[in-house]
Amino acid sequence: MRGFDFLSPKSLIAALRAIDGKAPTCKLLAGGTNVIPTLRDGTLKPRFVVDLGGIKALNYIREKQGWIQIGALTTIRDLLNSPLIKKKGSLLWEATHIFAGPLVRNRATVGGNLADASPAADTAVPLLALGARVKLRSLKGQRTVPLNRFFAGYQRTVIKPGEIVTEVTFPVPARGRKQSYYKLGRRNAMAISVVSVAVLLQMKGKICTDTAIALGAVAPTPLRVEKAEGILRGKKVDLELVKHCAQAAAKSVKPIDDIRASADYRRTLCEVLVHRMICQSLGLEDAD
Amino acid sequence: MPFDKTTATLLGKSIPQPDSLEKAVGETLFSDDIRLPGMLWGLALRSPFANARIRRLDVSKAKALPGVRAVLTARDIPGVNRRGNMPGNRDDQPVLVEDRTRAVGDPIALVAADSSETAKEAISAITVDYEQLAPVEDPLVSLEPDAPLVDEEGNVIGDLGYTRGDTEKGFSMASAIVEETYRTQFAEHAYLEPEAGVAWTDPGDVLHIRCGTQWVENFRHIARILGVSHNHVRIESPLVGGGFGGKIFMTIEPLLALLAKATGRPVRMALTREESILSSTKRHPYILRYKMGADADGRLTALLADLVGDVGAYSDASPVIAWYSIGFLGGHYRCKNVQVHSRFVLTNNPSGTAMRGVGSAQITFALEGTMDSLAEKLGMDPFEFRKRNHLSKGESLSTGQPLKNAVFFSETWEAADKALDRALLRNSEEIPKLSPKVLRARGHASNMTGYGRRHGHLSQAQVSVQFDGSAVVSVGVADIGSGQRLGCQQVAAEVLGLPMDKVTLSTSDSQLNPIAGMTAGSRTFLNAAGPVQRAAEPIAKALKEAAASLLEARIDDIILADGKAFVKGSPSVNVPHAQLVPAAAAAGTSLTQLGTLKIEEDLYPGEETAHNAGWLDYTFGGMAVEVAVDPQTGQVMLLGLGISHDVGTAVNPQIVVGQCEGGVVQGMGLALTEDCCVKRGKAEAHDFSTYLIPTSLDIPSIEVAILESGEGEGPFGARGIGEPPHNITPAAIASAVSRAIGVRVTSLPITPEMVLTALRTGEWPH
Repeated sequence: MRGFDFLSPKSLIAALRAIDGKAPTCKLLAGGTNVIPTLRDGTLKPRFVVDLGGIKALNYIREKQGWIQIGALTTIRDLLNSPLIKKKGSLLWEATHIFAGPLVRNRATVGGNLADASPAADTAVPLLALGARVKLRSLKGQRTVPLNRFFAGYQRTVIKPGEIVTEVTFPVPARGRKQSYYKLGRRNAMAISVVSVAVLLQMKGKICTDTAIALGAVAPTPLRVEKAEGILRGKKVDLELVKHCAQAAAKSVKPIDDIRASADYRRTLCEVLVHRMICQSLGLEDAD
Repeated sequence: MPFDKTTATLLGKSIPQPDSLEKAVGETLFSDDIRLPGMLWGLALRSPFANARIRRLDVSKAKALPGVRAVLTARDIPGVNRRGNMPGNRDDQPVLVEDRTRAVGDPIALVAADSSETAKEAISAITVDYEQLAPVEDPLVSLEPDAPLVDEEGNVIGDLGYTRGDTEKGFSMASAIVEETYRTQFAEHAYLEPEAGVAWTDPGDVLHIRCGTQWVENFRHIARILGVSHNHVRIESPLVGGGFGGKIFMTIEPLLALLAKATGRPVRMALTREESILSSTKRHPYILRYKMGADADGRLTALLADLVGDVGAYSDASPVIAWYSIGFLGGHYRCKNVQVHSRFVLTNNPSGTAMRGVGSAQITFALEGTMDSLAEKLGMDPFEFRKRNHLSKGESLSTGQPLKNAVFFSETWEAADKALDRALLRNSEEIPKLSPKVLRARGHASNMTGYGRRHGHLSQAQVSVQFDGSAVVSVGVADIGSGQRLGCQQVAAEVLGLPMDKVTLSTSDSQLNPIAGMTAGSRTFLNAAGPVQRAAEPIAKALKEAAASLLEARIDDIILADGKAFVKGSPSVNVPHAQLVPAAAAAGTSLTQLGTLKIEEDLYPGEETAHNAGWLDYTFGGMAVEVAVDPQTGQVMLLGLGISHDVGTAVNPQIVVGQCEGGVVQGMGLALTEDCCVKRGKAEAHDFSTYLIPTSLDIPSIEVAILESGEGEGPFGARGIGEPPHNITPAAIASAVSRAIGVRVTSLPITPEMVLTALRTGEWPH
């Protein structure tokens, strides 16, 4: 690990002051589960590392006016142990359940997971489907960015120099929403996803009034497949339509070949899993 | 005096390993935990290229850095710049590269500095001008006559084979013939403890290396590298955090030795996981072609096996593995017409070495797969087909070596199948939740793994009894976590009739302990506890004589147990060891005994035509596994697994179960997820997020059925069990997956992607 100055502010305002003017030589550290390996292997050579771990005020999970609000420094374990998340954000809860392993879950934070902007970020996929927004603070003020416009490219976000992610928030899903999440990894723990899928459907009888389908590890960023979503919206959902939707989802991804799987396999699995998750959430008999 | 098992007090008891708790709570001091006063930090500059000429190497800037105490290159090696090898094997690996790298990770220069930061800085200050050359990546390409030479002596380091009968005639008699080619991957040992250690020179000018190893006898190679005599090098191994064959030949020992010698200071080195995987030896990938024929009654008429092993860049243990493989290739089935051929070929890939099973896991995967295919072609049940062909006690392997001890083929197969039923019962809540669309199937395999050398084996141990009756065992064997120390302790305590805590151990020191061989090859209980038993026996005899005289009884009626001697049937009238030892000493018995296990050559007919292949004895086992395959994603789920081995005598059943379960889990990795993904000679998967060993959540319900024929060559009739459970697992899993998907699995690992492709195309993709 190369030498750097390590700053450990205890409040958000102190942290904002600490990073002011230091970008791009400054790296923010939340849980450190992504940052420390890159510091160790020399990929990152910052002059300053600012540890946000001391900002206790950014660790909370609460419900306010129909929204779930999660402080950016909330750990994955906190989410996993939260009855509120389990009840009102169960898509997210399922992702935290299979997030790495206990040691990583104890340290990794939701803000860090999103800011790291890995295509395979485990919390991003359910949060995208839940319509989450990200709150960013700087010394100049605050702004809110929808999560589906937060990722700017492979491991890139719209976070500007001087900004810190402070909160992730999503609307409490309406009653009767149907949802399903699945992460396909090569093993049952400590796995980086090959493909992950979150599906959320608002149904009125057999008519789908709203849809959210999010995918991970199949494009430079986790993404919503809006074209596929549109196929279901306002329609009576039957197997033919689900098939059509799943095919559209597979068409709108841009996977790569890597050590875990080929692009072809990922594309195929997008179709299989989107199909399966929709059927599963609606209790449709999967014909395949 | 033969040992009377009926009066044994510790034999067959699951005595826990004394160090288990301290390991579990993190108190054990491993090599990486050692700090010495004035210690320097050592680091190696390693080649990023698999094949490159070094045009220029400049270390002047590194040397000039403050805090740097030594920068060494090949020119600074005082002795011979070769790592050394077994006698007769190619000694082709330099300690430090001279002018050409042959593998990624080859050390080029060494640095010792006051701090690890300074050492890193010094490494980056070294400049190397490489001329990159195309690496030889494929052993089949390396075999071609015009292939670039990896080594001046030629690319083929082993070309072995034997023929029995007439295979052409055998195939002409067959009513079904199957020919299949199997491929396996580069596998990493993935010991949890990466290579680490310290070295220093003592005032008597003896260089000490304290470093986890499976073989303290490597001090001879170090002496040659340093240009000193053998008595000036001493290797001491702390408890080892896993070896699996990867720590038999030296890891960082020569690097530590050079730096300690050059600086006169203690030096420490510790590899990161990435450096470890990028530079360490691997399990050889095998390309195995099997052609087998059987007549209409399901009797084998011909077996042809052709093996090409990827040696990687340096010979290392490959000649030995090549030789071992010859002993397995012919299988454990009865066949008159056999032709076996194996070639081991250099490439610019990571070097292959011993890894749990020395080739048996790969061969069993191919052999059992071909047997399954042949059974299928004949329309026979795979067990029935094997029953008609497997060898029995007294029959000979195709090499000609007779199987002189029990062969529990059917017994282990059936016990494993029943164990699987129990394993599935334990999983009875989860199984009904499976989608009805999953493809479920049961698969089986059988395995024969050799243990113990037949030729010129010699190992020794020393046992001393103290005046109070307690005992000290001294044996130069390393404990790599699987109970090597416990085995020696339990055997000594049993023979001497002492409670476990009255026997202490001194082990794994090349100067203090009698040499007992490497911790390897499923033979350590035989190698190390064997001489311990022999050393303890004369002491036990002397104690019994003393007791016989004091108790006025016949020596044959005396029992030694729990630190006392008594007449069989009358334990209440007893004499404690504390009284017997002085009496035995007064009678002239030496209280320190050296035990020697010497195995003479036991030639079999035709041995010379099969390159003298074969082991002292074999361990037989069966496995049954049930899988569920997701037909849309290709994912394989293990629903349960049953394993059974005849271990001769289960001296410590818990250790046997531990070896079985551990072997299964490691075998699962080989079967399903582990692959170094070597490209251009480099292990692309070189950390634990890409090199996927199974986690605790991946382990299925496992049931172990231990069988005891009593016919083994180790103490009390024990057979080796370290490797067999591992060797059989990929074959059994592949058998189950093949049956589930209706396509023969012919390569490892079995990825979901390959399963899906096979389901869609009807062929296993290569």
